[in-house]
Amino acid sequence: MFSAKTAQKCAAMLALCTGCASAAADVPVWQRPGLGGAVRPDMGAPQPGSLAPDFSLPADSGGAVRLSALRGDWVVLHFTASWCPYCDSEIEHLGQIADGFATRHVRVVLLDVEESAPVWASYAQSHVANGVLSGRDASGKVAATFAPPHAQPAFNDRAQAVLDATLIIDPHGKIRLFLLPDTAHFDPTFQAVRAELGRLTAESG
Amino acid sequence: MAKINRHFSYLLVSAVPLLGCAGQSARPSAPVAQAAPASAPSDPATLPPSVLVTGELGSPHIGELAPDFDLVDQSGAHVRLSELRGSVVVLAFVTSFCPFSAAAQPHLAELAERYGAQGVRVVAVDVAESDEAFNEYVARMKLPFPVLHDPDGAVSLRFTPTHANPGVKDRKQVVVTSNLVIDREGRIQFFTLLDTAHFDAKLVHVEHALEHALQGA
Repeated sequence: MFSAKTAQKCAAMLALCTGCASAAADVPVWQRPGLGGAVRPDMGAPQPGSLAPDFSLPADSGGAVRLSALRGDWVVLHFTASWCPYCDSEIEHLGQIADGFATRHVRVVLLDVEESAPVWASYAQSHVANGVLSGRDASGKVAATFAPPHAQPAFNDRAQAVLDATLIIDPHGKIRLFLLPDTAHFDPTFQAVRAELGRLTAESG
Repeated sequence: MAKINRHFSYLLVSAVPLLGCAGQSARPSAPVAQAAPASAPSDPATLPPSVLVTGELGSPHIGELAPDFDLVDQSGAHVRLSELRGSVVVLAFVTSFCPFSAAAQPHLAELAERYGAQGVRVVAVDVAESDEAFNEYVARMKLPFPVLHDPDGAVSLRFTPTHANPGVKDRKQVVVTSNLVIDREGRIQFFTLLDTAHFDAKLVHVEHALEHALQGA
């Protein structure tokens, strides 16, 4: 009734479903639930496993946001812009991550991409939660260092390729999860990021 | 037999998220079209686009009449959708700031030029921007088709399928970078929402749908 190929597919599916814990490592990240936006190896660097590019940008609270100064803590890094409707729907939930994971040494860093100081200041005042460390990448140069060269190849402005992206960076500065936006499976409350963060920070004790 | 096999394997694929790996599930906020490709899966033009607006997402959707509107373009001329009956229409929702819109614009312009002789009308609707932003945008882009100003987003909102992307708070923005193909009778033949993970900047699927609409006349 069914072809050998179909039978093989059945076996593969069942193996996947019955042994989630062990199978998870064998399944590409982007095929896991909620992680469809994960960067693919063929997009180029930076990739999970590599050091996150360092940066130092003006912090909204004064001083600077320097990524390397946060070594020792986990970092959730998110790129945003006030005009982006997806970012705008997510931003309020970043504060919940900061509060919920504070005891696990997680810092939430939010970078605004390519907006003017008054536009961002006015938006940030009413949208950025207290627990979130926010800064402004006015030129987009920092965002561009995070943009894998083959992600959104149609974008001339490379900084925009990581707009609405979310990364989890470990206490050694290494990228552990790198999600580009996936509007077809939009997850404004960061459920998948929280699940990964919970798993990773629990593993590290 | 082949048909049954294909349907069977499709059901299995659909069932995977239900069966396994609970706890990490982020329920998709928009259903993803998973129809099996009819043929030649290696040819992108034969693959289904990932977020087709079907009835599950609410109205308007493929198969329904497109909501009518009357908006003003960059030259000050009124464009009423119902007055374009008799022509196949490509309708694109754009904004000046969206990088996905920007990346698709040259290909939209190319479609307008390539299919103009066959009577295809390409029309863009700029979603909820100020007069200043709209004027700057049309002056900068110099697009060879009407770009209509929807200043308060009311028309865009009427094109937002009721249940599409419920996580997006500003509902009129859901259709930014959506593309529709509307047939000569004013019926929606093709309607996709932005899918950033499978972004079709070259509008391969739109062109495929356009060919289909032209042949169907």
